[in-house]
Amino acid sequence: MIDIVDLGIESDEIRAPIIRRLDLRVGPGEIYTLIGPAKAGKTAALEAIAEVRPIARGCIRVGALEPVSRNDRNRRERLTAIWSGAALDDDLTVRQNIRLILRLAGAELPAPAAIDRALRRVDLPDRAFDQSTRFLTAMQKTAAWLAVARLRRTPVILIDEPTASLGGAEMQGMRDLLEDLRSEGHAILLATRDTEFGCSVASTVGVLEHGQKATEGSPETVFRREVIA
Amino acid sequence: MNRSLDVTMTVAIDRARHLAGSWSVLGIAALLVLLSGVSATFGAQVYLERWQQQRALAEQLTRSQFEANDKLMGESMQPGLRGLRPPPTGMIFARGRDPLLPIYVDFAPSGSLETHTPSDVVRDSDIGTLVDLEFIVRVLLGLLAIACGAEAVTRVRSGGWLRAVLSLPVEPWQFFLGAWLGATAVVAAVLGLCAACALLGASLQLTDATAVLTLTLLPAVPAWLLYLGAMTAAGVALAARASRQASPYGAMIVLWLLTSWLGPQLVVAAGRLLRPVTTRAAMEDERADAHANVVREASTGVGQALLVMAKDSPLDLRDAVDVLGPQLDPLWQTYVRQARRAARAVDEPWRQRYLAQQRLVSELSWLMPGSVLAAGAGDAMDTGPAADRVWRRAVDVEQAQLEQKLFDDRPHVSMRVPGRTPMYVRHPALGFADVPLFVAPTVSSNERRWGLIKTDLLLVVYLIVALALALRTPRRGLVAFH
Repeated sequence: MIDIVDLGIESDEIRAPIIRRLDLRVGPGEIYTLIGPAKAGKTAALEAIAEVRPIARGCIRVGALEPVSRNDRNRRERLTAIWSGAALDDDLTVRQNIRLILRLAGAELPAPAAIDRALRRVDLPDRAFDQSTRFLTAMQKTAAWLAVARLRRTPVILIDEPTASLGGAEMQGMRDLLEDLRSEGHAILLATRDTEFGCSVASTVGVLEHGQKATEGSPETVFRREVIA
Repeated sequence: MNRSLDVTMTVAIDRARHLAGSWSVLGIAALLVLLSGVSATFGAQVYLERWQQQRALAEQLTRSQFEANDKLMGESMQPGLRGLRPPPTGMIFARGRDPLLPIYVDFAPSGSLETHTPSDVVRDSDIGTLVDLEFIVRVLLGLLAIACGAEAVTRVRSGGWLRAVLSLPVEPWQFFLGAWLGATAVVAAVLGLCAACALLGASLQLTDATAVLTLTLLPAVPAWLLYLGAMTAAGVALAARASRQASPYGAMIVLWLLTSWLGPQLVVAAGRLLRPVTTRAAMEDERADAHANVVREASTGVGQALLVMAKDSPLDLRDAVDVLGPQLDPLWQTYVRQARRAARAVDEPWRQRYLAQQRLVSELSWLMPGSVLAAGAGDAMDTGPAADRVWRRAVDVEQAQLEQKLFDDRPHVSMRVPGRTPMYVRHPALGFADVPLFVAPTVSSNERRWGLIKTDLLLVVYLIVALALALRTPRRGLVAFH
């Protein structure tokens, strides 16, 4: 689960707030979608949760059951962050990338068969396992990262713009993968500009505008409001 | 601790594999290895030519001593008292200050006179500008080291892989330490290949087994590794702290020019500008003139004194020289001392100014890792500041001993009677066996060790500073270039 209370983020370059105030909660088995226009602060919020961007104020807790009381400093051990483009080390094959990421994350290295099983569960074809990742599509790279999340058994998954450069068929594949992970109990926080996709997979949707949450609610309510707007 | 080590080593292996698999790195490395072999082959050729020259000079020396009937000829003693400087084997790999030192020195009453080979006349720089192994490591491998350090980070930053890695439980310092280790390992491997190829090239050229066995690069290896490590760390720091993707490469070129190539030459130029000194050859001419003027006055003065004494004597002038000469010895010695004082009045201030210039250059060069390395590698190869100091000291000691033997321990009379010829020269004849002949000094291990320790310590400081800059890069702004 993810708990964010009174989060504020400032830009390094312009010394202006990127996120003025953000409160949100994502429970286990829930997909929360942050939607909003470009520069609304969606990616910055995810970066703050993953500790790659410092926060100006507020509290972030990830994967803890007790109530929010302080900043959680070891949250990267309990989350898998998948950034736009789902970058992998292009010099390595998919299998090598998985092993490298698991080693860097300090996770126990599973048997090769377990890695293969995890890759098959995210619909990666067997022939791609030993291929350099520079030949993978964006969808396949995201799928490889989702396999990492399963192998690391992180309760929280952050995904930034998962549908960037995806085709229609791949969109459905992505929906299925996310639904699969949600049903396993992962708390998933999604940031996307694609309102339709975001609402189609989410349990809860939050609309971010000018660094603060403009609306929050069920996908149907928010989608109707956004489409009308 | 174990976790940090594990992460660091994982990143190091990954980055080393990335660099070793890069065609551009492999191509440049292959070129450098080839160039090292070729440069050592040429270095060995120059070394052999210097030995041939030394043999010819030694023969000339023996012949001139024989022709002088093994007797010293006073003011026309050279080349009988010539001191030869055999070429050090290390010059094959690092010419260092070898071109600045004379191939032989003539000891004369007015002071020592240096002679350089015509090819060494160009003495513009104290830091090697010839393409020898030292130059290849300092300048070319230095550039490769910065580039590898920058490349180990830049691509992962621009491709988003760094953001992905830092979202895992990995600290930035662990990643950058790993990137530095990986890049340094690749650069160290290239250094090893360059050194091996240089040794092979020199061995093939030398043919003499004894000379081949004396070839070693080991004393220079720690300094080379520290320098390349510092340059790699600088590359990592530049790439980690750059805000734009192109900026680490621009900064890298500037840093490389400053630290490796132009910087060391600028240091020498600055030293010469701030503490100007005339050339040694100009000083030697001035000194010889000052000495000769006094000697001319002296011989005329002694001759006039003899004429005054001979006027009241029944002796023929030739007999008067033998009989009255000893009475003139104290007067002559006074003149000789004056002549030596006149020579020293030119020599000593010049020497002080020269030493002050050298000190300034040496202190300024601490600011340039390239200069520090050039001096250290030179010391490791017997062509550095230690060899320079040892040689100059030996020449000074020899000159002082000769002057003591020739002038202070021995009355010497040389006179020219005004209006008459020939000139009369009188002094108890000394043989070459009576004076200490010059023995070319070898650089003591202590002298060399101190130079290397100073170099290594300075390079350790550079390495620590560069690594600290790289490892202390904050998370803020690391995720991507603008």
